[in-house]
Amino acid sequence: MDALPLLKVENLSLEFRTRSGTVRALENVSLEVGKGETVGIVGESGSGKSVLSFAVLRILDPAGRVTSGSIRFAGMDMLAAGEADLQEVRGREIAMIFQNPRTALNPIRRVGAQIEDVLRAHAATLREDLKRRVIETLARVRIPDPERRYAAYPFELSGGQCQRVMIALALACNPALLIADEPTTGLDVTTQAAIMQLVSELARERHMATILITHDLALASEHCDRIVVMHAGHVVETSPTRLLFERPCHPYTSRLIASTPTPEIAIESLASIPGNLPDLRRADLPSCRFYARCDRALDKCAAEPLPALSPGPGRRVHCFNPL
Amino acid sequence: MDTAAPLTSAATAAARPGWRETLAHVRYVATENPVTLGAFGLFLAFVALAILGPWLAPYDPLASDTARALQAPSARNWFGTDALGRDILSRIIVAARLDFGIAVSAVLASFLVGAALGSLAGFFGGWSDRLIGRLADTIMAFPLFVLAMGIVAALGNTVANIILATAIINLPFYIRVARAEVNVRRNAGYVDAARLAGNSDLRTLAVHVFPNVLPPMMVQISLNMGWAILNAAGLSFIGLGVRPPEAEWGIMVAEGATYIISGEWWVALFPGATLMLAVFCFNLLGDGLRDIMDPRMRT
Amino acid sequence: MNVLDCLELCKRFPVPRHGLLHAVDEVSFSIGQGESVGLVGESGCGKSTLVRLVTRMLDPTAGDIVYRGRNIGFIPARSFAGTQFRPKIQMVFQDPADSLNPRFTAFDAIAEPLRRLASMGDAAELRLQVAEAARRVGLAEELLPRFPHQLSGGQKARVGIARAIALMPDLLVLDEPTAALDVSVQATILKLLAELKRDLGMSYLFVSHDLNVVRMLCDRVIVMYLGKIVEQGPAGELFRRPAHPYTRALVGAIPAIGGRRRGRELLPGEPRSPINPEPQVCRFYGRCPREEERCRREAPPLREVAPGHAAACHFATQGPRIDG
Repeated sequence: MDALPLLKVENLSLEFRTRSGTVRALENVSLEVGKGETVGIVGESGSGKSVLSFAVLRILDPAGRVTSGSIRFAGMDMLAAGEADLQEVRGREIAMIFQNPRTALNPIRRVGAQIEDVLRAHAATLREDLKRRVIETLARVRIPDPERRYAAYPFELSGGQCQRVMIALALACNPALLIADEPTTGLDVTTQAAIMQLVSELARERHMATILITHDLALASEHCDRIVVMHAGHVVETSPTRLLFERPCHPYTSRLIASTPTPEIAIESLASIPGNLPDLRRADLPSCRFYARCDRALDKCAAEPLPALSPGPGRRVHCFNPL
Repeated sequence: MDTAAPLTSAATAAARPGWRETLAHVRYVATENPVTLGAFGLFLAFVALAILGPWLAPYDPLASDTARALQAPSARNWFGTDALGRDILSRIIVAARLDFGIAVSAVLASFLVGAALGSLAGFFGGWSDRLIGRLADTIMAFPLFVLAMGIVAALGNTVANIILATAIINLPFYIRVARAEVNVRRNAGYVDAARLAGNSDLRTLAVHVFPNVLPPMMVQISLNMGWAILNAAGLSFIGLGVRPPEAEWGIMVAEGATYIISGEWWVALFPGATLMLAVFCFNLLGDGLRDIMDPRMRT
Repeated sequence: MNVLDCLELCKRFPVPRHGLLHAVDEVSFSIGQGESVGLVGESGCGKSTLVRLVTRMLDPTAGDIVYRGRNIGFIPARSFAGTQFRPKIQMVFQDPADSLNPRFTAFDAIAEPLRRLASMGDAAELRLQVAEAARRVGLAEELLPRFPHQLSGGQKARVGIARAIALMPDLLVLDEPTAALDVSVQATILKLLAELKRDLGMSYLFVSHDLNVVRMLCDRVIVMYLGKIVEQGPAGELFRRPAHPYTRALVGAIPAIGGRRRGRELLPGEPRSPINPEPQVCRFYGRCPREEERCRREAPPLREVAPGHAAACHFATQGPRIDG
């Protein structure tokens, strides 16, 4: 990994003001992504993984507020940057693809026109060249019959094809970082395989860093160099992929792995995690938000601020009683 | 858990959330939003006027006293007197009952019939949808005033006929809203679940889908009330339905219109302002009503 | 006697100006007493339509649906609710948030089928039955007065299951029952489903896109593609040694912890159109890594490749072991 990380999030905390209280959505979250690296952020619903990516791009809901920490992208302070600078970065340096590709595309505009928008905004392209470049981009994401699909509306395309269009949109300007937020949730498993292979290939080709946000551990294990495990707004563990699965350190990670169905295990050995996510609006949350559901919990896990242990090279775990 | 264990109080109370809970919820909604609270208060004031009108009025609204005609607002007659010496404040108070009565009757009739038709059209589709759609289109072809005049000519110039005309004109509004809302929910999982539980199509529509359609319709009903009051006033302004010496806001504005030029501004202004306040109140109330009806707001 | 037999079941939808969409095309299968049959396939394969046919919410265009020897396919869907069979075939829906009426409490939701289809003596007996159903699915009694938005995902899922088993059906159709749940909750629900099947002796038709889950919970599996069954067989065997090229691609595409996309066959192109399909062309033609000229002239029938294991492919043999 390069000495200077492309994206560095340090001790980020953020909250949402809602009708029923203040939700402490993220607390002391730290994350690093190096150039060309693929990092997976894995967590269940309510873990804060999507919120983190919105925070990086500064596209949080107005009710959200960063309370501490920093986000630096290629040296630029994202939290202090003005809207004009951010607009330069969004789409050109950092691109994002979302879940539900069909709804993420504008339903009343042809896909060719949508890709042209991006090119026109960020890449100085001559008008004559626009259409040709768009068709080239569509071909590169392996959309069959790109000349005809140029004029298609999103509803005329399948879910997989829409996702390819989104990828084309995202990569139109050769960004340094691609954030993929659950890009294959809702797609068929064969389509998922094809889309993920496309993303991996394009990332490798362009030496592009990728953040893959997913709830699917197995998917992350196949495509990521490093994995960040999140729970209820905390990062609980960070580790290179293979080590994470060979020897998970955090109790949550281990239970999560044990509750993922695999071809080998029988239903009796499938683990589950008791209890529910803590209510993040409470003011009296324990230091470790997994405290109530953990079978290795100690008294100090609720009271004292969590440590940052380093059980191995490139590994970090925030736990008083790791495995 | 032993199956022979006695029923706990939780299970016994598991039927419907009681009225106590509903009242608490209403209070919550009202206090959350001061505007709603204000509108609600105003609404209650109007309802009080409508119910208690005749007892609250300081003077007899029909008693004319030509000696006191066209007196400016004073300590004696807060809103002044009209051309026949009648106290305007009293007439306004008493008129609340008539205006509200007309508006509520018309809206209720049109809501009941329109929502039923619209729901059927939205749920079953096919020929019922087409038929009801054509009906709505036909009605929409008529402007209210033309239809009212037609009905008056055919059936007579009474308040009941005005209510009928207003209700008919308003029907497509509810048909459209109900149809759209039911259509959206028609394929929801719980609709299939209701069928699996043994409900007939009609029962599924009535018991399972329609109650979910009510919250969005509440806003519509409230806005509609404002429109209905305005229309009742408008029709009597041109002489249809309510006739002198009845007190009604629209007729009072009509009577006062001729006096504006000669400087007796109060004869038209006060009834007009009351009309405006009533419509305003209903428009604001719409959101609050929907929040009360929507169980998702209950936390 | 089997709980369910489907014989040459067809459902065709007219598409204006285009022709007929063959959503389900001559599908035949059976579900025995206490058996758990998995139904897998990707979007457009017809499994949702098949589910609606089996639960009698939709009428077939052709073919028979037989419940314990009685032909229920002839009963129009509209009047099925009034028959004695309605309580026997029930369903657990995919999205608990969507399948629970937002205006009904958990109690109401579970009580509804009992009110409509079971003769309850009085309110007290109804409460008893609802409490019993809730107990069976591990739903705490104090949750019964709550509305869906006040329940967690796992709790909503339990309400959906309680509602479906309240009438003690013979056949329970489960349409992606854990798809909307977090993986930590999923395990509990799956174990619950396994337990219920054992205790209540129900048969399951388990529809899921998650092949690992299907493998865990099902005795036999049916694989559908474009309205047809392309393979069916015992769960373990079908996944370990898939005979049909589509099944092979499907199994190979599942991400696995520690697996690094070994020899994964990615399917090119898009599925053929289900509208007016040519009956002599194999539905998988055009995407199949194994296809030949013959596949275009002669659509392969479903043929046994091993005891209890059949596939619709000219070249079907129990393929080499796919690891895992």
